[in-house]
Amino acid sequence: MRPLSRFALAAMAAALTLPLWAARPGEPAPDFTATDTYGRTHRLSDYRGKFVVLEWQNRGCPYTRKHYETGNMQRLQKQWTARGVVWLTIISSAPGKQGYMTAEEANQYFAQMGAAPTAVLLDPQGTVGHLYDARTTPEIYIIDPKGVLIYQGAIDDKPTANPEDIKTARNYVDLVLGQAMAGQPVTISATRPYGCSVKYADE
Amino acid sequence: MGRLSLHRGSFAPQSALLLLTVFAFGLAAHTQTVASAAHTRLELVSERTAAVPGQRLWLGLHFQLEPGWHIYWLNPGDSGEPPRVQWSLPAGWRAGALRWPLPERLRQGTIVNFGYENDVLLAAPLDVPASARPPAAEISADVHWLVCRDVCLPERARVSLRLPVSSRAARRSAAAPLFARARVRWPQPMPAGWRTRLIVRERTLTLEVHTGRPVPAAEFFPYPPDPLDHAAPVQVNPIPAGVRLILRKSDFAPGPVNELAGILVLPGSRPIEIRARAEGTAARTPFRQRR
Repeated sequence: MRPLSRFALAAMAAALTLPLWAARPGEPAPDFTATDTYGRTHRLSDYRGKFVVLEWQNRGCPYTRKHYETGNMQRLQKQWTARGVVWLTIISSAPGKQGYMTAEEANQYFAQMGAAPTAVLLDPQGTVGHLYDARTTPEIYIIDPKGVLIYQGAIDDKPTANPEDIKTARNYVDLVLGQAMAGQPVTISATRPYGCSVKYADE
Repeated sequence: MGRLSLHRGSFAPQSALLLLTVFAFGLAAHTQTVASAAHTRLELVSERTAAVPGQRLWLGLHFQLEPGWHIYWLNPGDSGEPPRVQWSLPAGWRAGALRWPLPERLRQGTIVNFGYENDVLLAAPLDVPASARPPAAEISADVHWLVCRDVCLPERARVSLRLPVSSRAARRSAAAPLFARARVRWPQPMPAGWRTRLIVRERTLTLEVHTGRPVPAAEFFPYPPDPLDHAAPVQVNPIPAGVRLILRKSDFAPGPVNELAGILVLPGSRPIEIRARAEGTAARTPFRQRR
């Protein structure tokens, strides 16, 4: 037996710290419980029977701002919740990091923005973020009524901070929910997310 | 100079030199515009003191960043965005694509980015038409870039250069050392005789580069469309004829992987541009032989 290579050790260390096996499209979405800005508890599995969108958010990130300051995100939230979709906006910024908000600050901000998610979940420990291996804002996960992850990745196909690009972008939330809710096969189930890194607590 | 005091010590002599250039040549001869954004100082520079009609000249966008801040390579990795430039040139002049020096791998938690800290020169070839007339040409660049530390900011600037046009041979400008420094980090074409092999499996991509002798170490930077998981460890093994890298496929790989392209860095060698076609997708022709 040769001694463990440096690679093997690095791989073992990585396996302990990185969620390399986070859910992938086609697999059950990991269940979680989180508290929203009104102190209500949300358990993902309680939403069986409905489509669920998870949206990672950071109000200071230029890419998040691109979608909120143009009203694009609010449009998506309104359009799809009106059709019975559960939209959970998740803030995984740690206290002191960009995008972190207290419940009151978040309620004020989202009201001011005219946002319309089902709930805003506060995840300052990054528990839900790490469970899903969410890496960027905005990052989107879509879960079907059976609890299966059907999409993860970017919000659209224009990975820029330029608001002008929204007009010509192909929006993946519209595409995936449009197909899935019409009973059609989903043609794009994973894309490389773009944006800012999620501002987790320092390791 | 207020902005410069924020930069690392090593910038100071160079910046002083460039500033000196502006004074030495005066406004008429060689005007260089510097733009200062919140965390970046951007300067448009020319490798030569003048444009010669009918010849190629190199221009460069010299980004100097505040300590701790970075900008991105043409493939930014897991987040971020590469700088973009739009040139304004006299009729008949043509600027080519930016040349990107080898980036650094920047890791932040589970995020891996490819980018540049401190300073970087993004150079572009400028083809000067035979019809170019003295005494000078006005060249401008509109540049957009994202600069990040723990947070990111989009920045933009317009920088201009009044470049003398002269039929006599031009001299190296004071900015020429920046180009020399950048060039050693430009990827070179794969040497004749090297071969690549790419084996695509469900979760991994195995890239073999046959150089003729065992290679103990290697690092790979993927071009877009990028099928790799950047945070996963890479297994690098020497093989009798070269090196084998086992790279982890990203969950976000766009469709089937038919090709892997990027920059390979081997110990003691200049960065090499690699393009490998997956076995089974086409004839096993190394890309150098297709020419």
